[in-house]
Amino acid sequence: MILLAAKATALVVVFVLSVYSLRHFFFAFHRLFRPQRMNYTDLAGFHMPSVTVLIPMHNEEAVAHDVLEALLEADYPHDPGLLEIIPIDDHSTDGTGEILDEYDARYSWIKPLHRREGRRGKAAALRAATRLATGEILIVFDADYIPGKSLLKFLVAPFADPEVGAVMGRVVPENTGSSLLSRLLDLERAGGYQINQQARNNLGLIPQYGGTVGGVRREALETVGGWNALSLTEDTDLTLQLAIRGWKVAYVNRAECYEEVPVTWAVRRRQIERWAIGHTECLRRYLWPLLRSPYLSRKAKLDGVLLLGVYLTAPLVLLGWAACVLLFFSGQSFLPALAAFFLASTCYNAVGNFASFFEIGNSVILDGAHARVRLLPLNIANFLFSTLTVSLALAKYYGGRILGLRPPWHKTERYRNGNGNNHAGGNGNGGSSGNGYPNGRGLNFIRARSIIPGSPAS
Amino acid sequence: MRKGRWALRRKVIYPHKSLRHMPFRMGLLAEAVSVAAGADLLLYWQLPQILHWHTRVVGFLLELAEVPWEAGRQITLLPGVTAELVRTSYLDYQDHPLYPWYFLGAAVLLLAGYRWWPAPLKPVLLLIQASLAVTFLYLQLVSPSVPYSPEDFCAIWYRGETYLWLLLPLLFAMCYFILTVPFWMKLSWLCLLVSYSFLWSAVRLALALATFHHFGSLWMPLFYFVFGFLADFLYMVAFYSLAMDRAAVFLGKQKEVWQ
Amino acid sequence: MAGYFSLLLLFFLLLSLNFYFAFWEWRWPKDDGPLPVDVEYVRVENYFGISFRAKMKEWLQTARPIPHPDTRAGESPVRAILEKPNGERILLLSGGRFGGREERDELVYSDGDLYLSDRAIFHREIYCLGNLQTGGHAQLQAVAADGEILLGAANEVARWVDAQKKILLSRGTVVHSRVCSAEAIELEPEASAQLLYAPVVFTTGYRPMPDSAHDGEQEKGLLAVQAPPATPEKVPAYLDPARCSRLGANTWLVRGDLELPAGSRVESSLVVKGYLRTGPGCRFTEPVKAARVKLGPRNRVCRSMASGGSIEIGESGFVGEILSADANILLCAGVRVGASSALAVVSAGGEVRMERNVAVCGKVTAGRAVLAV
Repeated sequence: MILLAAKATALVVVFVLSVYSLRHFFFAFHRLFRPQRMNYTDLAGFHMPSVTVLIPMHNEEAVAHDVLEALLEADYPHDPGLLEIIPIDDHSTDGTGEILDEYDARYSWIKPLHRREGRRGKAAALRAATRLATGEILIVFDADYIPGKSLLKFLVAPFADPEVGAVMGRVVPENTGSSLLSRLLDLERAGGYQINQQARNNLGLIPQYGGTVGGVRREALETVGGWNALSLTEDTDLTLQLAIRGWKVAYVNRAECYEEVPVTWAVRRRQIERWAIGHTECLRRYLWPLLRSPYLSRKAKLDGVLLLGVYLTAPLVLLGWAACVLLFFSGQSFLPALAAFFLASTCYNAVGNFASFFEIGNSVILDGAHARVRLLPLNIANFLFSTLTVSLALAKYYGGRILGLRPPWHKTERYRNGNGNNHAGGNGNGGSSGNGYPNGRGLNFIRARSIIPGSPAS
Repeated sequence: MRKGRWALRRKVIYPHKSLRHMPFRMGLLAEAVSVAAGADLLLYWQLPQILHWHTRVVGFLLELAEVPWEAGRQITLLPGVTAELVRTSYLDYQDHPLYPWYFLGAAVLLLAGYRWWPAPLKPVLLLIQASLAVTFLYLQLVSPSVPYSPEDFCAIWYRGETYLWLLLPLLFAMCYFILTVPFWMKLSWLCLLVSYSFLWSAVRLALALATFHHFGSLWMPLFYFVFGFLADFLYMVAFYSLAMDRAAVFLGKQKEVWQ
Repeated sequence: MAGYFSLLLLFFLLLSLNFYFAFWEWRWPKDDGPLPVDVEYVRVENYFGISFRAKMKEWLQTARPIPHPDTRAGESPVRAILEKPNGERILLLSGGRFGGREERDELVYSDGDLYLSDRAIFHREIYCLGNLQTGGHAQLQAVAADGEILLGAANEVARWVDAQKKILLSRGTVVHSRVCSAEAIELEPEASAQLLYAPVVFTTGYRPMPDSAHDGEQEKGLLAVQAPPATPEKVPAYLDPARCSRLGANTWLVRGDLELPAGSRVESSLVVKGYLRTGPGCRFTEPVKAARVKLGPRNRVCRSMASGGSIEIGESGFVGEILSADANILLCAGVRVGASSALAVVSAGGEVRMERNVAVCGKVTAGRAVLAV
């Protein structure tokens, strides 16, 4: 009986992982061989509705200047009727509030919101700010992002389509040279956005709104009851709610913005834990509504289910391994399933949660980079790390549910300007922040490095 | 300089963020499928020879490792494809009862130093320890020996590797032959990959059998799980990454940039 | 055991080979910088023309004159030849005319009007301070002019065309990239390009002001978008309650096809999952989207219209802001898009076909081609 269960488990795991593998290959081939949907990019600069930029900040004195200065230089008309910026000081205990007040005094269209009461966290902050916002479109940036001059125009262009409820841009890691982890995440992000998100956009599936470098139509947001302050991943939550109610999420590959990725494995672990739990909560909440939604096509529903279940594959891999060990010791290893399982499980997501090695390889070609792709074999470590971390996080989550505990929200640490632990901005120590990431790599650094590679081709 | 009507046509358009069409062509997809099919037919035709040489290389390496061996039974892997197995022996833990404890002790020591290992290596080393620990428990609690003889292990290995060799050209061709780089470049990488695959398989099998002979069956699951298909996947990714790097450099040189 | 350890060494050697190049790239990186994102980038539609003009001015400063080797000096308009440090040459002209079937590999700089005769082939870019005109069947790389550009019949331009004044693409002329003018672009039948950008892009037969229903005042009237009505409580009369639902406060979604009778007024955003067809004289005051669209004659779309498939705008129709389709767009005779005070976009993943007397104020772009028919 146990052996039969082990065989069945191994086969189910092989099947599930093979589906994910095929999905990666399908996306990659579609991205490479089929025409791209670029129409929204063509509209940039011609569709300019009123926009409110929301920037949630909790102890962000190290990076607050950069994001605000970058937005001041945006080529979106600085007309108070068209552009409004609401930086949200969310229970900060450092100098973030004072910085925001400085900008408030200088620019009438920067309207900071200071939150000292109520629930903390990004979704709660966005909820509060949305009540003050006057824009037809709400664009969200995290505080450590540095938007380029044209980014707002690219992000609002798809809203010319009345069916588009949310838009996602592409995030590009800026601190790639900081550690091996940041370089591996750079590869994962490249595959995830350049290939995976773009293919989903081309196919009319559900590209994921990522919570930053993206925007949402206020009308659509109101339809789904606003940001879900109870969710650990309010972005995935919003993506699903919009899709279920008939709104489209668009992805704009050209709307690129630098971000910081985790430099240390400890920070990465907390980030993955939060995503895994938030995602799985969304699975629990939205699986049936998604399957029953009258607005989604079958292929979009399948994509939605696979998107929601992506973190469950990690414990599945472990389960598959356990089943295979059992079969091995019971003398059943001639089963082709056993061999196939290993091939599928490792091929599937050996290099990240959202991008297989094939997607990453091609994204490197499309991005015009080269040597960084050599790091791919080291991503096996990232894969094993993610598998274990996600499995533990989900075990903790389900354990917590049984005990009635809510998972805590961990803010991802910032590294810019020597702010290794997010509470030491401008500490005057100079040098590095202890993790090998040099100081002062903010807006000025990026500007100084910024060159025009090639030209906007026709 | 080209003259005449086609003089002004651009040969290659390097991928650019604003382009609607990527420089990948359906013809190349057909090329990839043809190459994969051709390579598989060739491999299938030559498999008996390849397996024969594989066994000879394993035998040579076993002799190098001072492991006595003899030709074992013949198994049929695919219609018309048979392979001769290698027969070796295990270290008998009943004669050497402390050996498993030594290995377990070493594994525990490594675990004690877990926090000082380089982070990327931690999960890999943990896999090695886990496989040793599970086998140790099995040998202590369930049975004094694993359910396979070295010859059985050899049969499992040949079966798995044969299927993999036939899959390899398909996987690589679909991933690499679709690029707009010269055909000779793509073919060279494929040949290199397949050759490396044969050699690497023989070395791993020989080391596995030699390890069983010298240190016992405790190590079998490690070679099966970690240095089996997982190692196969690793070199596939390694070759793919290098080939993509070279392709990217080649394409970079074709890049049309406003001068 | 020495033999065993030799084998072990060989094993680790081959194993480490899998990681060798990755490890090398990690410890001694060659490519560890972030992917280039130009934060200073500002989209400029006539970037090529601007950039080329600036480059040419720079080259004129740095290039050195070389002896005039042209044996046909007497009949050639070339006044002097400059050589750039990289060996490329620039022909300097004070205007003039190149004879028929002339083939040139040099860059061309003309400070007067320039005429290129039939079947001329210019492999490099041309910059003309005056007007530029070509004969039939010329092949050019790219052209910038500070005056007008009149491309003769069946010309082929491999890259772009940029002028400060009007551009004419004569019958059968093909531009493989973009055409930009600070004044106007006219397309004769069968002329095509991938992107056109100008205050007004029009096809043969267009009369700017007093034509038919589109004079300046009327144009303003058409563009004026009324404030959206307070959230309508009831399903509008033109929608079938059984097949429609509310997507947002002011957006209705229709499952299946929708056919609107003549003279309908749609005052909320509309998303039609199927085929949208309308009779004559309908008016949309808010954005519209459908899987496929066919508008009847004299329809007015005050804001934008999008489609996952194709769009056909009937005769004398008007679109105020944006027209965007994943497949093809057909603009029938007399269609107007945008206004000089508010530039618009027509964008298709496939083809944009423009019939006679069509005018777009702004940009027309297509994945395959913009074609005058």
